[in-house]
Amino acid sequence: MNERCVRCGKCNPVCPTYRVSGNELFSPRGRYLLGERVLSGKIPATSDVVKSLLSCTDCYLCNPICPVGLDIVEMVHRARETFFVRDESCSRFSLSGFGIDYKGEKYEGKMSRGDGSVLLFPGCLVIDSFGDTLERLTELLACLDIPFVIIDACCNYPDWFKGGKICLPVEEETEFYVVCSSAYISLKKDAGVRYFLSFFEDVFPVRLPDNAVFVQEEASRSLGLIVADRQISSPGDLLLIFQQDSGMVHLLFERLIQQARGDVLVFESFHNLAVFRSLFPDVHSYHIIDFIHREVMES
Amino acid sequence: MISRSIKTCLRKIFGDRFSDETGLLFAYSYDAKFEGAPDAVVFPVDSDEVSRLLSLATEEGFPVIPRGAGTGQTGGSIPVEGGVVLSLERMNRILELDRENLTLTVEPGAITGDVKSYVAGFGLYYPPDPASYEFSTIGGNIAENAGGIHAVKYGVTANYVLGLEVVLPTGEMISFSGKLYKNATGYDLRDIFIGSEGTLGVITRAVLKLVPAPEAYATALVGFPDVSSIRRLASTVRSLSASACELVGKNIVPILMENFPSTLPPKTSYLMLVEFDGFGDEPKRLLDSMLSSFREVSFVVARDDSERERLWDIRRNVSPVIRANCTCGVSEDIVVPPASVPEMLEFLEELQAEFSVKIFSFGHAGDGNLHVNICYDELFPERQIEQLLEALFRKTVSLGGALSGEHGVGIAKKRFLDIYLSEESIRLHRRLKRILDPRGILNPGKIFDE
Repeated sequence: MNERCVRCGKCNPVCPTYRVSGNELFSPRGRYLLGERVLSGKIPATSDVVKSLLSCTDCYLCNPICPVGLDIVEMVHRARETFFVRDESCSRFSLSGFGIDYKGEKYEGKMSRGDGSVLLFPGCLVIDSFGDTLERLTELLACLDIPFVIIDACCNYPDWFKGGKICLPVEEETEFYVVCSSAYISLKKDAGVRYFLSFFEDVFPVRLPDNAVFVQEEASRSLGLIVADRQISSPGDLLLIFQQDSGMVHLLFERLIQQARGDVLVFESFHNLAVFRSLFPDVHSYHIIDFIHREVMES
Repeated sequence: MISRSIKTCLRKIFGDRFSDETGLLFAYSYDAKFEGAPDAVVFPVDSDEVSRLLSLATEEGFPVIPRGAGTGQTGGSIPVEGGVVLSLERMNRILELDRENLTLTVEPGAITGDVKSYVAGFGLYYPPDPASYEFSTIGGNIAENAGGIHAVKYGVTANYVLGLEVVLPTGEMISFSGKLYKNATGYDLRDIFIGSEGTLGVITRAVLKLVPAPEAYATALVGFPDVSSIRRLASTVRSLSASACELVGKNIVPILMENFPSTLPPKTSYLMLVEFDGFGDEPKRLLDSMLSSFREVSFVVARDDSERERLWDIRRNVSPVIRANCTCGVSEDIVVPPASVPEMLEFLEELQAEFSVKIFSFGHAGDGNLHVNICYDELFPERQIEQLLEALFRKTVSLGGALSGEHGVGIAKKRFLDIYLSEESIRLHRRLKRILDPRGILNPGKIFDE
């Protein structure tokens, strides 16, 4: 297989940052070709180059589209390494600064660690942009008299591809629950990492109504939809079901809107929910936590 | 290089939608085949901004290069002498669907695939489908007069443009024809902008013609042993008004056979994917009538949607096969009268032998538009490539054909233009260009030298 970018541009329209920006600099093709030149030293990592490479949201929608099978995201990761300086605080580069406005206020967690409590790891996207949802999650735990502690630390998703060490304020092998599915990908190599939905599954066996469309991280990436009463479990093996010629995030979303006639659109991935809301602000969409919260509070 | 004072003016017009940063200039320096860096890039959001940019360019004399999605094959959106790239990516709104008149008004940056799926939601169809339709723009498609697989029945982009709003290089804004299906009032000036490769004006709005979406399909993959069947087959297919008649040439078929064992008809040197579309059982009836009149061919008929998809997958696999087997080469998109396709295929065999290259040809046999991919090793002398291309184009023209069916001339085929166009015709091209673009600022260096 030819491993050079043929510059066809097929990957561009599936990229959420390209759809929002209408700018080749923030497209998969642009990033791939820039990344190549940054790595070979032909183009310096000037501020707009850095911004381009950091703006990739790692959603992986572009990779399965590529007609020559390039790993576009991996190229972005490699190029980032040339200028990435590891920071103990969260880098927060993902979607911010791209005209994608998150809803929600910053969550001010005030909990301190107590014995026997559940350790919750929300991740920066959740803390920064889905504060309301996080509050609903803590409300649910309070309902059940489950003590918990919020870990406000970086999941190191920005450099998880480098195998960067994670400095969490928990002892080794301590179990903790990760709320953000992207953070979960980054952290799951550690033994104590659990995905929060696996905990909720036992406490609140969720059944979505028949008119609900449940968008799982890996499902949305492969255009496969999981509808109605499917049991919710951990995201498991991500990026498994790639189909050639799938993609077109907006088309997927348009299809979702058509399917979700009753206005019930439930997302598991905060990332996808953020992109969806930016593209379709008028359509009601929920995170699975909001949905569980609504169900529990109503009953 | 454009001067600092010009950049200041551009910043005043475009604000943060002007940039001359390193990364951005690189990102706007390529299409699918060619390279050339601009001095700056601007992202207008309406025709007024386009007009202000072009007035300034004519006044100051700097090049402006209009660009859609940068997916062209012939360098149409590539700066050849620097200048300002005018990106139309932000002017991508679908403005109005008129269901009474069956028209769709769009801005030029709308992605063709988005337009197609938008109207499909209303049971309507925008037929033009260049291979890049999922990622190229309507403006780019109009500027290159893009064709596609269904041109054999539905025609090319030009056949679906009713109205255009164009900004001339001097900054004047002109609207042509609106939603009219017929118009005999004055010269048909609209059509000179269709296929003008962004050299005569910038399209800022288009009114597209829509048709009812077909509801039924009948698809077959036909295999035959030699070129002699092609002529009769393609002509039958045309007379029955098939919606697709796609040919896959000799060198590609054996590789496809390996990739899709058991799906392909036996005893095959050439393949043709034939499809009829329409309503009710008419497509099926037409396909049956076509197949019944051919004894020498073998065929596979799609029995349902998934089988139809599988047959189209074979056709879609052609380009990946060529890419995998051709690391170095050129690709042309000649067009000949449909009945001359067999003769052209025979000539390609001769050309392959004479120059010791490998030629992968495929394309739209129904409308005579062939994609000819000529592959050679890296040490193959440049001079011989030129000789080969010249021989190819001369033969094409001798058969009544032209250099490009749907990709345009751009910078790719400029040097061969006089094989097809007469001296008088090239002079007329130049005169027309000078009338509309007196200072030669709009997309200079494309199609012909000024």
